[in-house]
Amino acid sequence: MTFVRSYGLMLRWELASARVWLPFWLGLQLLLAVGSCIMYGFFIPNLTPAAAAFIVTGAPTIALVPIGLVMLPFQVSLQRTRRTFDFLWSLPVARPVTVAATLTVFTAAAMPGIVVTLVIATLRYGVRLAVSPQIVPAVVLASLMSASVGLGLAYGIRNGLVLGLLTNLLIFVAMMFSPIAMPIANFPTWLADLHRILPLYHMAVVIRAGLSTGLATDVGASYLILGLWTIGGLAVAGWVIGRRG
Amino acid sequence: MALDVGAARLPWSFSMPRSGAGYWWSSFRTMLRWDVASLRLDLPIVVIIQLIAGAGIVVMMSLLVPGDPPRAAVEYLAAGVPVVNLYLLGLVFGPQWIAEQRAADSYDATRVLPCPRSASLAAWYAVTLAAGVPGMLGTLVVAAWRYHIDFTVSPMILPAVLLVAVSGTMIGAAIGHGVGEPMISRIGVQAINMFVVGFTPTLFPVDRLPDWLQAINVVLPFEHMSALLRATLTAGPVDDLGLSCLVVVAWSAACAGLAAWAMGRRG
Repeated sequence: MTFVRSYGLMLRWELASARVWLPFWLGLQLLLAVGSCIMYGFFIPNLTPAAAAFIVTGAPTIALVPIGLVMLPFQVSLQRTRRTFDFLWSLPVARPVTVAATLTVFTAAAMPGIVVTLVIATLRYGVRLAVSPQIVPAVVLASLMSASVGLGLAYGIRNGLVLGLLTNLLIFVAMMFSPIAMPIANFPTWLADLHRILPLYHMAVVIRAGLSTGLATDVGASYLILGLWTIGGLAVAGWVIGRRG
Repeated sequence: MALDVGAARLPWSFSMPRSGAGYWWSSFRTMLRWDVASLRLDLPIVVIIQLIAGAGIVVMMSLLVPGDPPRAAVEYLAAGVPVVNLYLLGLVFGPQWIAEQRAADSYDATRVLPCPRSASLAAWYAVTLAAGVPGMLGTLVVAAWRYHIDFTVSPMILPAVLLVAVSGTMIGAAIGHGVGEPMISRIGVQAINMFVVGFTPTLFPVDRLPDWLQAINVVLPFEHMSALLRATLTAGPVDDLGLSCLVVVAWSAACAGLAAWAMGRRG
């Protein structure tokens, strides 16, 4: 089978199995993303326009976390416990094709939620955005990166409960301790340095650069780091699928 | 005979009646061992996550706004985070653990064990309480250290902690046992967790919420759970503790009943 034909078939498989859950994923995505945007307003009583702009331009990044880094690992761990996982690998399709189809679905699945979150956040805080074409590569790369890292996590960690705890922790870290909706200058040096290595901050930087002028700096470095994380996630997934047993 | 020796060690041996306080107590102890043994690898992780989460939320306050956060806000937050510590295992991780068992087809095996459902729920409650208290203490220590808060701890903290933990655990048990589809219960508890942290007056004062949300919170247990703990941790006035007690007890009882019903249901 050619790559294109098997990719098309696996894509149909992925879409068919996602069909039932897609509404729930979108529900969770909106809940967490819209929820945390509105929540920040309750935590910060007298919001300055600058802080509001940060929250709104950080909203799409928060909306990316639940799909790639939470629902994808959960889906894979469910496939493992339901034994669908082994069945998938037994199909007469090259394994990278299966991975490519999963990545495509999860990268695309995040998009509608991102738009809705951004619209609601903009209305809630009355912020004027300066959207540039840069937003397209930014969102696609950030989404692909979170799906790749999610896939790496899901393939690399076999224990479902550990994976569940880890993704719970990820949601928490993303919402509460990441320079996504708040400036990195508010963070203590060690945490800021840690975030300059981790991907969440860089996702926020590239997306913020596509939505505003002057709020994000050093965008090139952020693209580079996101690219490296994408490759890293895929490398882990590739190593796992290359192994037997 | 070998069979008799083996059977005599089990709480549900044929020689014992399957009712009465003695049977309940031995079932409780067995289920407690069962839960601890099943989660032996995960409980240490849960306790560590508890410590990180509790201390983290307290410290997070200073990340949201540059400079020192206002004193009143910090004190309110510090007395509210222990609520999160006490419900986290029972309400958020518990249903996900049951979801995992359902997906792995091991749920029914646990359900058919011949022990009273109340003993099984009570044992799970003991586990969640034991996993929640270290996190709560960690949170309070970090808050006292980071913001120099002097907590005025009253002896009533003991019943308050027991009550807050029981409500979180029973709500979680009702969801875990009541919702058949793992994905839905998993998303549901994430939603509840998000709601409690962001849309109830657990971590910030009630006047920041819009009126309609304030009204909803009066009938939900979370505001009352935090009121109970706050009253035993701070010297500040807390309104109508009797009502809070009543609401929390009512939710605990209703959810315990729902969980027990769902555990005994067929099909």
